[in-house]
Amino acid sequence: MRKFLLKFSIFLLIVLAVMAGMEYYVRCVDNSPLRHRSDYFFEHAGELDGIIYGPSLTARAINPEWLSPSTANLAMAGGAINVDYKVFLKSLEHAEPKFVIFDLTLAYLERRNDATYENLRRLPYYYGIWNEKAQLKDLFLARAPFADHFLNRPREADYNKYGFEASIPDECDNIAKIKRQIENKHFQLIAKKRAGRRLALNDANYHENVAMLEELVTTCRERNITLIFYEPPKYCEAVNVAPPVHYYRRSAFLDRVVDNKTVHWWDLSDFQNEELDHFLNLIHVNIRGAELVTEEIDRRLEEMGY
Amino acid sequence: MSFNSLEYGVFFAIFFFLYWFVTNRNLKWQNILILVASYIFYGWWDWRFLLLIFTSSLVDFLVGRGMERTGDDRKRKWLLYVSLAVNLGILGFFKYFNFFLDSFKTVFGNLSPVAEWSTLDIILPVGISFYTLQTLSYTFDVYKRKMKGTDDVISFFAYVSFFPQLVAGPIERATSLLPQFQKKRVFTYEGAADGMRQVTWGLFKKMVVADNCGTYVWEYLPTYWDHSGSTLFVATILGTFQLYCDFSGYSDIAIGSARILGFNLMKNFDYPFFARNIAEFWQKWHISLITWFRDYLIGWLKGYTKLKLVRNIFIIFLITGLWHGAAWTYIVWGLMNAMLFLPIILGKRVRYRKPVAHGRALPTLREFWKMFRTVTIFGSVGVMFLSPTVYDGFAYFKNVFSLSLFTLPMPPTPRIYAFIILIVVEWRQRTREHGMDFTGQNIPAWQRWLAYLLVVLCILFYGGVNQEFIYFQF
Repeated sequence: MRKFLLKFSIFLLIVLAVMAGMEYYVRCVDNSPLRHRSDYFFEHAGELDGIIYGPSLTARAINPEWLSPSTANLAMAGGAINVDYKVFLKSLEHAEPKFVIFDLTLAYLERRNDATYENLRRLPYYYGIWNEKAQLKDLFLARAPFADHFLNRPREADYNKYGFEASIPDECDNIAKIKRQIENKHFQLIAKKRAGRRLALNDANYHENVAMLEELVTTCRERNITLIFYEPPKYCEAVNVAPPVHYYRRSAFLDRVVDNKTVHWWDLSDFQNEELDHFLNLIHVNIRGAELVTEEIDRRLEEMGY
Repeated sequence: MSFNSLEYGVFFAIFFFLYWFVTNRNLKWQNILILVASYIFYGWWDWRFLLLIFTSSLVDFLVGRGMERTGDDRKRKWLLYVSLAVNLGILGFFKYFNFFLDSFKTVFGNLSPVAEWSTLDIILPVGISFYTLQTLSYTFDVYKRKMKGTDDVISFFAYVSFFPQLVAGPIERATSLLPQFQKKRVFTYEGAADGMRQVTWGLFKKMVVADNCGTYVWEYLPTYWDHSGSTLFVATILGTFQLYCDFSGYSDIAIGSARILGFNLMKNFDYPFFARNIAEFWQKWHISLITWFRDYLIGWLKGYTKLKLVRNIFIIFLITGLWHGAAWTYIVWGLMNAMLFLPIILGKRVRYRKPVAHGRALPTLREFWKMFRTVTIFGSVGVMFLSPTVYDGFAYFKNVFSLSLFTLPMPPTPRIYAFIILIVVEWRQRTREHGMDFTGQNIPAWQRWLAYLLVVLCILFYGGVNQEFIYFQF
C-alpha cells in the first residue's frame, strides 16, 4: 500500500507540476484578441468616451484607432448577448462611457453562450467574470484546447494597441476564397451549414436575451449613456438568407426601445456590401471594409456630438 | 455521478481511504461500506431509483433463500417465476410500457381495447437493464444448482449494487462475483497499479476519443439530409469509434476501479475492431451481455441444426436489440446484426482460433481488409442504433450511398485524430487485458511513466466537450 500511495503521489505531483507549468506558459504567451483588448481597456478605462460590444463581426469591423472619440472595442469572436452583457456590466465598474455601441446582428437575439464557450474560460482571468455554470477546470487557460491555442495563435505584431488585428494577410487570397465559397458546392455546403447554425431560431434564448437587453437599456438610461444598437455589413449574398421571423423579432424589440435620444439603431448591414474586396469572408469585413465602416461610424458619432 | 466527473474522483478517493484504512479488518463492515457507497453513487442520479434496486435485490435474495431451503422442484420453479415476474415486470414497466402501448395503438388503432389509454410520464432508471440481468443471473444459478443461495444479505445487496459496474456493466455472473464479496480482499500493489492504468486508459478512450468523435457525429448525423455521402460515411466510422470508446471506456474504468478494490470483473471488450468477420466481432463486443444470453437463454433454445442456429441467432439479437431500448430502431438494429450472421452460418464457416496477425507486428493486406470490412459493416448497421426512427436510419443509408460519397467530406477537427493513437496502442496491446497493461513487459520505468504522463495530459488538455456515457440510457 505504501509503495502504491507513494508512487501515485509522485505521479500526481508530476502531473500537477506539468499542468502548472503549462498554465503559467499559456498565461504568459496568450495572444488572444481578448487579452489585448482587455489590456487596453483596463489601462485606459478612466479616459474612455465609448465602448463597443459584439461578436467577431464587430471585432473585425471597428478599429478604435480610426475613431475620433477615445473608444475600446471589447467585441470577441463567437460572442453572444449574455456574454456581451456581462462584459458590459463589468466594464461599467471601471469606466464611465458616454456612448456604447452594441452589435445587434440579425439572429444575435437567438444566441447565448453556455459554459463550453471557449472565451468563457478567458473571461474569469481577464475580466474577473465568473460564469455560475462553468466548472472548476474552466478557471485554467491551459484547459482551453491547448493545441488550438498554438495552432491558431496570431503573431503579436498583428495587433495594434487596441487589440484590433490590423495587419490581416493578403486580401486577394480571401477574395479568391469567397469566390470559391460562392462557386464551389462543397464550400457552399459549409457556408450553408454555418449560416443555418447562426440563423437557427431559439425561443428560450430569444426571451432571455430580450430581458437582458431591456436591462441594458434601463442601465444606459439611468447612467445617461447613449446606447447605439447596430448591425455591421455582410456580403450581399449572405444578407437575405435569414428567415423573416428574425427581422420581425428584432424590429419588435427595437420599436419598443429606440427613441433616437438615448437609444439609437444603425443598420449598416447593406453598407458597401456589394464590394467583394471589402470582405474577409461572407460575413466579416476585411481591413479595407473596416476602414469604411469605422469612418461611417465616426461620421455618425460626430453628428451626435462625440 | 459519472465516471468522467470530478465528483467521482473525490467520491472514489474518500471511498478508497475508508475501504482500505478504516474497514479493512472486518469483511462485514467493508461490504456495508460498499453497499452504502453504491447506494449513494446510484442515488446521486435520483434517490427514487433506490427503491427499485432495493426491491429487486430483496426479491432475489428471498427467492434464493427459498430455493435453498426447499428441495421440491415444483416450488423452486414457482420461486423462479416470482423472481422473473418481479424483475421483468419492473423492467417491462419502466422501460417498455410506453413503447408497447404506442405500438399496440399504431397496429390496432381505435379498435384496440387500449386506444383510450395514454402513455405515462415514466423516467427510465439508470442502469436498470444491467442490474436486472445481474440479479437474475443469481436466481438462475441457484435454480440450476450451480451455486448455493446465500444467507448473507449484505454481501448479496452489495453484489447487486456494486458501484463500479452498476450502471453500465460488465454484467457479472453471481457465480463469479458474489463469492468475491464473501472472502477477504487483499490489497496488492500489482492489482492496484494495473487497475489505475486501466482506469486511465478508459478515461482516455471516453474523454479524448469518444467525446471528440462525438462532436463530429452529433453535428452531422441529426441533419443527415443536408450532408454529402462522404461526410456521412466519415460520421459513420467516427460514430463506431465513439460507441466503442464510450462503452469500452466505461468498462475499463469499471474493471480498473474494481481491481483497485481487490475485485476481478470479467472482460467486456476484447479489441473488437481487430475482428475479421461479424461472428468474431460479436465474440469481442459487449462480451458480458452476449455470454449472459448464451448462458441463460441458449440452454432453453435447444438445437444444433443450421436452421435452429439461425432461429437462435435471430431470437438472441432480437432480445439484444430490445434490451438496448424500447424503440423499433433497436429491434431493427438487432435483426440487421442477426442477418449479417446468415452468410457465415449458411456458407462455409470460418472460425478463427488465433488472434489476428498472430506472432506478427502487422496484419497482412487480406487481414486488414477483413478488419476494415467488419468495422464498416458494424458501423453502418450502428447508424440504425443512433437514429431517432427507422425511417431516418434507412434514409441515412440512402444518403451515404449516393454520388456525393465521392466528394470531399467535411473536415474533422484535429483532435478527432486521437482515434489513430487508440488504434496503434490497442493493436500493440491486442493480446493483453487492456490498452495500458504493461505487466510482464520489459519496458523501462521511465518510458512507462512517460506514457502515463502523456495519456493523462491528453485527457486534461485534449478532452472533448463532456458528454454523458451513451450506455447510461440503457
